[in-house]
Amino acid sequence: MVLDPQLLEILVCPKSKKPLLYFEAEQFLFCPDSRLKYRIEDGIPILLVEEAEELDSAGAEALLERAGGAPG
Amino acid sequence: MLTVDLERLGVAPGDWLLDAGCGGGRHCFGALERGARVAGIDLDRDGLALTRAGLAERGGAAGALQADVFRLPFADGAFDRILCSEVMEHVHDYRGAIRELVRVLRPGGTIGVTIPTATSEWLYLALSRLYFESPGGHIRVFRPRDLARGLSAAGVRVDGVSFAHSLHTPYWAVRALIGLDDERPAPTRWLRRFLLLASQSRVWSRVERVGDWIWPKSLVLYGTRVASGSA
Repeated sequence: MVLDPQLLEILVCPKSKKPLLYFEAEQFLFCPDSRLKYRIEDGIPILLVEEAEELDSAGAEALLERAGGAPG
Repeated sequence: MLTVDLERLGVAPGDWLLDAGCGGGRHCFGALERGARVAGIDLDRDGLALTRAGLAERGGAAGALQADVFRLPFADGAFDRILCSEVMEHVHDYRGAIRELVRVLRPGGTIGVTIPTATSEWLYLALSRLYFESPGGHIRVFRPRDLARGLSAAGVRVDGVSFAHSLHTPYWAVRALIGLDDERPAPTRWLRRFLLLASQSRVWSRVERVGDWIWPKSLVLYGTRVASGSA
């Protein structure tokens, strides 16, 4: 289940209000600013700050590298 | 039957619409069928699963997301239309919820917010304390002017008001009387069945519209976000 690309354009991190990176294969969204990782379950993004996983800076950098740099 | 009139909200093809508190998705489906792009949010996962499935079936740019009305996961001004049906009576800081909704509404965009009418709420409260004390239940009896003030304070010009769902008034009165936490008693089941059939009947829809002038269950306020600075 793929997130709609037009929907993705208006989505932001509920905490930082910055754009999110979409990891389609693993089905999660990530905010480089807040370092919060939001899972997507059965096609439904769980965009709740209290349900998100906060990555440390090393984990966040590894993800950013895989995504090919900063989000546009 | 939809609580918020999508026509009156001005929903047009290509518009982005946010349904905050989408439940099972009935307003989302209506908007998608009008050619709008739709985001439905709710806290309840079961409702979201129904919304997601219904949106996928119909196709188009859309999504169902679990999100909190106080921390919306959307960019400023992302939406042309917002509807928020039966949410405000469940939250403590409704002014904060309205401010966050208005943040994601573009200037000139329209919003429709529904609340239960105070008269119907007082009736249920008189019949059963549980109506306000059960988890996830209502926490406040709203007066329309409180909601109107909340909208104005957030930069929304209130354009109009309408009433809906008078046929639901006796249903909830019976529920409050014989058991809010139990949907099984025969009168409850009969009334549910009646509401379902009535929603598909032209005659009963007309009766409901007349009833809406007398004892409505819901009230809808429609408004427009004024250009920033002129609020």
